[in-house]
Amino acid sequence: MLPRCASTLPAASLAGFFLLAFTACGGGGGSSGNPGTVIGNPGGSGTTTYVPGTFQPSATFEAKCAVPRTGRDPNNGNQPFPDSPGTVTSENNWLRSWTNETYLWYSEVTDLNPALYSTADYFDLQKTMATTASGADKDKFHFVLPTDQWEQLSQSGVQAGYGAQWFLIAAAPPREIVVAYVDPGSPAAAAGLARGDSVLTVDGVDAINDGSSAGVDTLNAGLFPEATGDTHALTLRHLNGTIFNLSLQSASVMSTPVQNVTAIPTAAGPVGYMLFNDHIATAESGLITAINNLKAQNVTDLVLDIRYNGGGYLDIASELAYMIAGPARTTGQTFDRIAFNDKNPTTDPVTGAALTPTPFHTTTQGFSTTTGTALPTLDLDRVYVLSGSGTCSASEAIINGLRGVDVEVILIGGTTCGKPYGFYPTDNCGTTYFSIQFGGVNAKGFGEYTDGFTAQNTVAPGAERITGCSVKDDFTHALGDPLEARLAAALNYRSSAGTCPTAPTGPVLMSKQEQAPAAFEGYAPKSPWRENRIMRSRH
Amino acid sequence: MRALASAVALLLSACALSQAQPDIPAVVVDPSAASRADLLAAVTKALGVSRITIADDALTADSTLIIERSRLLDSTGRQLSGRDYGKPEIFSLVKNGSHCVLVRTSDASRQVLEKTSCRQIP
Repeated sequence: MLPRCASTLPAASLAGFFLLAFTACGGGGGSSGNPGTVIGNPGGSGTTTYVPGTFQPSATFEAKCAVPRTGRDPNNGNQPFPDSPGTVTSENNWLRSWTNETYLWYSEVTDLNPALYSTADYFDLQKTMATTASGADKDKFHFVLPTDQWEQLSQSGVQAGYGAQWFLIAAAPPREIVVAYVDPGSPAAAAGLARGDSVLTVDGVDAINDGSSAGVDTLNAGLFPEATGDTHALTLRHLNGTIFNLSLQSASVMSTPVQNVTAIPTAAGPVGYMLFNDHIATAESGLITAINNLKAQNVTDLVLDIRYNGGGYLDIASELAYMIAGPARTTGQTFDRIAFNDKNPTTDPVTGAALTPTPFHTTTQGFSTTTGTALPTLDLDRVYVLSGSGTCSASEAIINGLRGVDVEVILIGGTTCGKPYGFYPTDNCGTTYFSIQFGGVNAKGFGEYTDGFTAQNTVAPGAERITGCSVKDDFTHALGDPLEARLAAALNYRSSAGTCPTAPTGPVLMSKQEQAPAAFEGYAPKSPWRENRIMRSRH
Repeated sequence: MRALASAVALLLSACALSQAQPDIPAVVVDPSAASRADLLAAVTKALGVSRITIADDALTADSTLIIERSRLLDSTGRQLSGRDYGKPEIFSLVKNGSHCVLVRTSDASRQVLEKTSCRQIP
């Protein structure tokens, strides 16, 4: 069982459990084993004597559960669950051995007696506690999730909701929740919602100030409906100050991962712009259409807006990088190469396959197009990337992959999230564990951007500095509008030989009189339709 | 037993049809609660999973249905897994004779959608 007390949760634990902690603290279960006590054997309950520094194979303890699942697994073809009776300690023994075998920084994990902790507590400790140059945790991506939630599937891009991407400038009171963008054809679009609209109330609850658990529940339910057909009443404020009421009904909304593709005329030739929000399967065809569109308009530069793109399929990132750079710089080059810990230098420890790099894909990979079709290219030697804290994982791989083949990446916006890592989510006893197992590097062997990429003039310390300008997000203009601050900065940088606006030194709030949302970094939760407890009652 | 016999007969029928007549890409017409349940059951069965979200208008404008793992988030709003090396599951709707058949691309397995009406697309 997962703990129900906030003190037992990892900092990066799922928001759902985070919120639950405020209302249900006091449960949880710690084990009571003693160091060195023999409490079974590996072939039975999966417990064994703890000997520091000695690790039995994780398979010894696999699926030996304190609370075994019974019956058949509906998410595995109705096969019987593999679980057999075990203990909290046997589950911890599995975590200990599995971590030692596959965790990227296994040598930095303190070896602790598995008999002394609850499984949730023990997992929290199965990670490096090192920090980066910025003082942030070296490992920011250490999670658990109930397996039946992890196994859920959906039609590509489809989720229950309104089609409005909320941006949480502040998730706790005094909250600021604004619309980042709207998916075309969605209920939100039909209702006239637009970027910059700020949420004032949800079903009568004050979205800015209500800190009660009931209020937070109402906000989550109203902004992130889990089912279709739910109707909620929202009050919002437009950028012009107009306050309006809406009754929105959730539906199965198909997101549009590539939007606002346009060629912006300039004195030095047309500049392409595209908003790329998600590396989902349908993005493959959308990106190809976008590149063909921009190629037909003879663009000489590209502004790639991935400020809200948290990643997804790495192969799609590779395709896009190739379409930007073209064959001259990428032929025979590595887009991304993953490396596991030093116990697994040549093979993937999970699949057993030999490690091979991901190339720059020159043809479609069959995500939403016919496999093997040649990709169009823009053949650019530089690209402007609009970034933010939501720019993560596969999106960062685009930046790193292009830099690896000497395409100049000019970063305009905020610091990216810093996730050159990945994992194989792994089930044991009904819980799926996410523990970093590999890191990715580019053709030059570079992959050290745990603090993210940031523009050269960023005031804050840390992060990998690259060419570009630090610019706050601007909710007062539409994405793709040349007046939007980040896009405007990119266009100005291009026309002025590298001039940046003054770099912000911290959160910049507009005056109340302007009745406009603040322009600083927050985050845009994507498809939180299951794990949707995004709002918080307090910091 | 009767259900099993019917299923076998249906399978044989679909098999025979697939061999006798060509598959023509198709889209769903007049989608209903029954046809949606039909489609969901077919996809659920093919993939051996229990929780799948499919749009109400799935396969009404396009003959391809793409299924992938749902995007889940951590407490900061970021995707749990933003670096995926997998591939989605792709299904195609085809018309074979008078039948609407859902074909799974990865293994070419076929399921007749009995409660679904479809029409071929150019």
